Amino acid sequence: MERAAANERRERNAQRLRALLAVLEAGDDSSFDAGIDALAREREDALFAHVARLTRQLHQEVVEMRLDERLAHLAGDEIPDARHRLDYVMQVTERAAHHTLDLVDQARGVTAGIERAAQHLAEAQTVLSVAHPEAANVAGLMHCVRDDLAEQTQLLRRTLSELAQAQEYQDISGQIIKRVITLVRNVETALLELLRAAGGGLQTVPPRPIQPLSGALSGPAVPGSTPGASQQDADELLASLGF
Amino acid sequence: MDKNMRILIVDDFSTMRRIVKNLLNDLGYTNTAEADDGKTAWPMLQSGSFDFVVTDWNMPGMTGIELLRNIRGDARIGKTPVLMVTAEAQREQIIEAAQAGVNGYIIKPFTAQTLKEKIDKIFQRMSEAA
Repeated sequence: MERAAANERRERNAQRLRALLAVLEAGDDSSFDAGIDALAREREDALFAHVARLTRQLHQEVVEMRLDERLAHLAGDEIPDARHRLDYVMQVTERAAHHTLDLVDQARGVTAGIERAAQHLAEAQTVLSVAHPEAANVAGLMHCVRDDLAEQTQLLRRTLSELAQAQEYQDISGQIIKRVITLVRNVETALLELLRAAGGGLQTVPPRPIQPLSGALSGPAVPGSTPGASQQDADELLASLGF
Repeated sequence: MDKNMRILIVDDFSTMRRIVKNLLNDLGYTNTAEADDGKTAWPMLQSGSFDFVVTDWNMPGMTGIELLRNIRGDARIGKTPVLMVTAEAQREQIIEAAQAGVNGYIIKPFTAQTLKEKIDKIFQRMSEAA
């Protein structure tokens, strides 16, 4: 049955093309153009009819599966809730990172205090050496303690710098979460559009344009995604460009 | 190089601005100011005399690459050195930044040592060119 219809269509197309070829060979350009346009239009019409049929089917299925209720719940409650949770994660990590940086600043103040104490110890040692040269062993001990303090404070300073530096995770993870929030918002928008198209509720929600994910930027590299360049790769690339 | 030079730190994450500022302080650069994106940075650059800019790429308002292009396109501040510190690590982006006239490119996460190296290198090149 289907094959017969296809054969018939093929035969009809062949006839029309033969007729068009005859018109072209006869030099009747305007009839030829009109014939070609008509063929193209028929194809377009068939495509639109197909899209319209699919849309009707989708609408029917959404209604039959009571998808609209579930989607409305997803788009109306669950997705905004997920977005708020992600926003909250960003706030919490930002606060935590700042709190850590505050404590690092405080601890830096303490190291400065220790350095001042070590300086006083050095002064005391000088006074002692002059006033009581017989207590050279005590003065020597004080000198050792002072050196120790200086060394340990330096180590502490380095550790504190690294501790502060380690807080850059907040920027990296924050950027990744921001991208996920944008994605979630786009899914929400798309679902609401779908619901509107299917004639569901939520008619009051204003249409929002779907935002592209931060333009063309790919953001921080994460395991499993396209690996980004390392600092060394970047240095080599810039060097090859004459930097 | 002049440890008292005026540095503008541009990043939309306040944590990162603070970290960069801390690192710069550790390196002896204490004359810094902050902006949370290119749009905020631009009028500051226009009115203040900044000697150096450290900027992120991906920011709302005006991105770092747009800021860089604006700086390079400006007759008065066009030669200000710009160091890009960003999580964007695709080759195309590094090349794009280079073509826009960036002076250094650091990929996050980075270390204090990398920051020091890049700043030193930028000023070494500038003094060689001068």
